[in-house]
Amino acid sequence: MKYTKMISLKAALLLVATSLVSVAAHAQSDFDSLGTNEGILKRARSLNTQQQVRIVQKRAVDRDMRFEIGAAYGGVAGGNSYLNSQPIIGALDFHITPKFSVGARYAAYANQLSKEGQSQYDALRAGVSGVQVPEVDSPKSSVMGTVSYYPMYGKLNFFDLTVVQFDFYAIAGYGQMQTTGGTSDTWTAGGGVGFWWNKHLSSRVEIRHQAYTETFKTAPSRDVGMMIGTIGIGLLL
Amino acid sequence: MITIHLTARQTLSFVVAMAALIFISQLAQAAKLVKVSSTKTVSKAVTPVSEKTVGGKSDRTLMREARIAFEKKDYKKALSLYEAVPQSSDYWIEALEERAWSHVHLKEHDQALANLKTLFAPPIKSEIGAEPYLLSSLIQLRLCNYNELFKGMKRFKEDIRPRYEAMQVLAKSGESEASVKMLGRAAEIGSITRAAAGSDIANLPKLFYRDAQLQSAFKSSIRPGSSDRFSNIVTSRLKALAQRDVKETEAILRKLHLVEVESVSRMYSEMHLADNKKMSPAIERDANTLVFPDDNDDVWMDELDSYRVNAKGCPVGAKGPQS
Repeated sequence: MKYTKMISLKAALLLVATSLVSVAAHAQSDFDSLGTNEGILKRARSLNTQQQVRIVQKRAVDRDMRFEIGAAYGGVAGGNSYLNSQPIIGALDFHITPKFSVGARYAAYANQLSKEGQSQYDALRAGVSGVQVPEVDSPKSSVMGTVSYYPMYGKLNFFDLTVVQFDFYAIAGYGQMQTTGGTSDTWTAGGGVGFWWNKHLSSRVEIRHQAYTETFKTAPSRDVGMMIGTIGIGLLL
Repeated sequence: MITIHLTARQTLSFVVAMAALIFISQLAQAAKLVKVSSTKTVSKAVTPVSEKTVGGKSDRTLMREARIAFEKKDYKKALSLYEAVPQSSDYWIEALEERAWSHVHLKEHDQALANLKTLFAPPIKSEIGAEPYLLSSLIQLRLCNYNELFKGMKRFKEDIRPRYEAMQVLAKSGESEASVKMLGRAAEIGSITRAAAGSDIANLPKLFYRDAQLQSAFKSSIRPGSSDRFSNIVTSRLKALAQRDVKETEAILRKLHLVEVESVSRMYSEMHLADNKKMSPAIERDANTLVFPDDNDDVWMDELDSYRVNAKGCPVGAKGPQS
């Protein structure tokens, strides 16, 4: 009796083990056979209906009716060939919406003689004949009113540390340029990228053309244009 | 002529101004953080990490109320409660899955697909079970999007099969490489948490860290001088949870085969299911809305739960739609 029981127990265990193996094997083959018929897949592809996926996000930084104050530093290309100028800029922008802002820019210029200007002065000091005093009208400062339009946006994965949203913008402005020779009208046009790091911190990389008039004591005044490239940091209030 | 002295002064003032700006900005940020942390201090002291509080309700309460609303077929209320569960919550993934089901009941298939898109994103898919894949297939069948349906089946095999195999190992002995690693980390922390699973979470039973029996047995087992009985309970509990997952996956697999048969029949007979999906509202493209194209190969963490799907639905064929 005991022996019979043992036999039936063994048989039951074997049956359970076999059925477990068979269930597992069955599941494996079920995985293999799911959605693999090439003919059916071809038919499915031919019947495909369109499905569009987009990512829709809100701006991380609110720029509706907000002020942004900032400072920027940069370099100048072009302009008077006898001068190397470097602007330090203080900016105030009022963002009406994330697409438009109006603002004001104050720039103070640090000027140095360029190599060309320095060599002309050196030649003059050395008494080289035929060398004239270079015509220099250094920019001192400028004040402008600006309008900016932000038509394109994007976001940046900043070294896997954070995701920063940014806007490309176009900027135009008009104001007054103070030079050593006097005051003239000035206008600017250009573009840049504004990065909105968090609710309070921003930064801008900007390049623009600025034109003004140089006034000389001995020579007629002339229009001059310069390309100004700046990098700046801002505070959103 | 401008002297060098002036240039240096201006540069210095610029540097000082920049430093001041950064300082003020950081100060503003810090002040905001202090404000937020001081208001959260009380709730933090009485609520476990996994129980975030939103509008006076813990995420666990929100889930419970949402499930009651779901049971009562009040799907709109259920949705609003599920949506209140924050992303930082341990319940968020479940809430997202159940949101998808609620949308299906409301015939908002596009929104359901958008929820599923987040669930199938690489950081999350290791924590979900097989059910969202079935849901996705059912929606695609409903929308006659057979190509996406078969793509989903392929994805199911790629994502779930390795997990199924790992669960089979755990279901046999109650021990696997992943479980041993997880228990080691849990012993260091002092409790079984989602964090203790680390990158092995895909090879462990779904929501194992929520199991009260497992938690209490584990805590007893790591006490100095505790008997082996508790360790055995931990092993048998993991085994039971793995067996549950294996069973569930096999059931879903069988249902997916049925969906496959159904879709083949509908594809060839052109007898589509009734196209009664609700149209999604158009994306409001205002100045504060950013719209980006989707890239399946490059998922950004900030994009989770920001997907919008717009599916066309079934073509009305010569034989017309069928209910």
